[in-house]
Amino acid sequence: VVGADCMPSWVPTMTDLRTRFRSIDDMAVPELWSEVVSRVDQPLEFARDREYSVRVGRSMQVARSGRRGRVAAILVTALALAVLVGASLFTAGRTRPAPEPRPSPTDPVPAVWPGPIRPALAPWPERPVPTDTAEDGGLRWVDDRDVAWSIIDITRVGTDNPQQRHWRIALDERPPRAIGLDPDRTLISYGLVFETTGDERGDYIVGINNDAPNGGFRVWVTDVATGMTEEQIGPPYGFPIEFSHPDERAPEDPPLGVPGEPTLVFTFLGDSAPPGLRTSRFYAWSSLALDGEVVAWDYAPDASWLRVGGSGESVP
Amino acid sequence: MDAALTLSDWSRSVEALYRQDSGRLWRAICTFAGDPEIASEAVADAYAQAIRRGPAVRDPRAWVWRAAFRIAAGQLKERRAGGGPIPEAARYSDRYEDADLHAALRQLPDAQRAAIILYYYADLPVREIALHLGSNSLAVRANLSRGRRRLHALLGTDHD
Repeated sequence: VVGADCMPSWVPTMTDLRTRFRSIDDMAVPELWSEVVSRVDQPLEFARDREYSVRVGRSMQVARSGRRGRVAAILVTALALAVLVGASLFTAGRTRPAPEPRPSPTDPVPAVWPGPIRPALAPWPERPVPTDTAEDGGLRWVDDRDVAWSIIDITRVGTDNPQQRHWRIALDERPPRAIGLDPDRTLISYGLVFETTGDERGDYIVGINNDAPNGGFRVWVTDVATGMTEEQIGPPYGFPIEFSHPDERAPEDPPLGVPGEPTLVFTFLGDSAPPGLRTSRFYAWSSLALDGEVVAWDYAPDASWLRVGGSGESVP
Repeated sequence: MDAALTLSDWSRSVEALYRQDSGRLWRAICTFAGDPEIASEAVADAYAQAIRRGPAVRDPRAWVWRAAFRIAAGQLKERRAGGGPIPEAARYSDRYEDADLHAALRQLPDAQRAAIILYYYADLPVREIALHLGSNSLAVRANLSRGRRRLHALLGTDHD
């Protein structure tokens, strides 16, 4: 090591590690700019498809092969799925009375979608949520069926297991498969809002929606104070938050919560949860946007916080 | 037209960033993942996504590093979940002058390994590491401390 003889004895470890890490600079680096440009220059839907292929771990060669051949198949499949989903939404609308979109009865009812964070009517009362690991997955908050669009009508909310905490949101009806939805036309979002500072305002927003290519999901965590959002669009998932979506589960799979009520599950892997969030107050939210306009939403609870801990039966 | 010009300017600025910074990023990701293919995938994808997102990305360098580490970590996670092969450092020993260091790094958890690489190789301060990894300073300090202790134990060197 050049100059090592001149170094004082109290710096060798740091210097040694830094010196050893400099050997990394000897690694030959491939030229990737043409690959970058090829990914950017694809037509949007096509590029998204390729992006998905890469992200699920295929090699570049595999991702490149069959690229052109897949375009026609993708277009045909997308068209067929659009027809199917349109038909299913139409059918769902016919089977339910009064499908006119309306907000959940948050008091007072806002005229427009206020976003995941509810309008401030502090102080909200607290509702303790038992956190024992029960067969229902801790889904102890029972919410009113109060939204005309059942796919975003939250029926239960809960959390369990403090060692690896899961937050669960049960729905009145399973949402349509994301792969058949155009997120510019139909955007279905679910999430949680956490309050960590005691000021009655949400501090972190967790969300998931279908704004991703090829039936994937966009998941995000927003720090409200800084405005910074960590997100993952399409796989691989896990960070900033891990989840289970009803879309990923077959009808014959055992329910994650109450049978007949499709359930979303969120959890933070490792130490990725923001400080204090695992034990903070929270509520669940959902929204449905059609052609870019949010037409219905739900908060659960509408006007209180769920507090981790406590014991007992279902919360009224 | 203005929007197109803006996007073009943005693309050029990302290319300038690529020319300046991608070598260091690729080496860091390759050291993190132990696999040149994952490094190439993650780096190319991160820059491409940065271009697509446009000037809304406020700090493109930090954004690209964070995206590349996330993509690489996700691919490692998928390999583990799928029982796929995790690259052995020895397999790439011809690329690494200090094979012992890379073998030791492979034994650290992902979060500790990423923090160590960004601190000792990329020369970033703790606050910047938190920004680059989408973490917070407390978590980075904890990972640095634990990772450094483990690394010294594995390398048989003195702990500072």
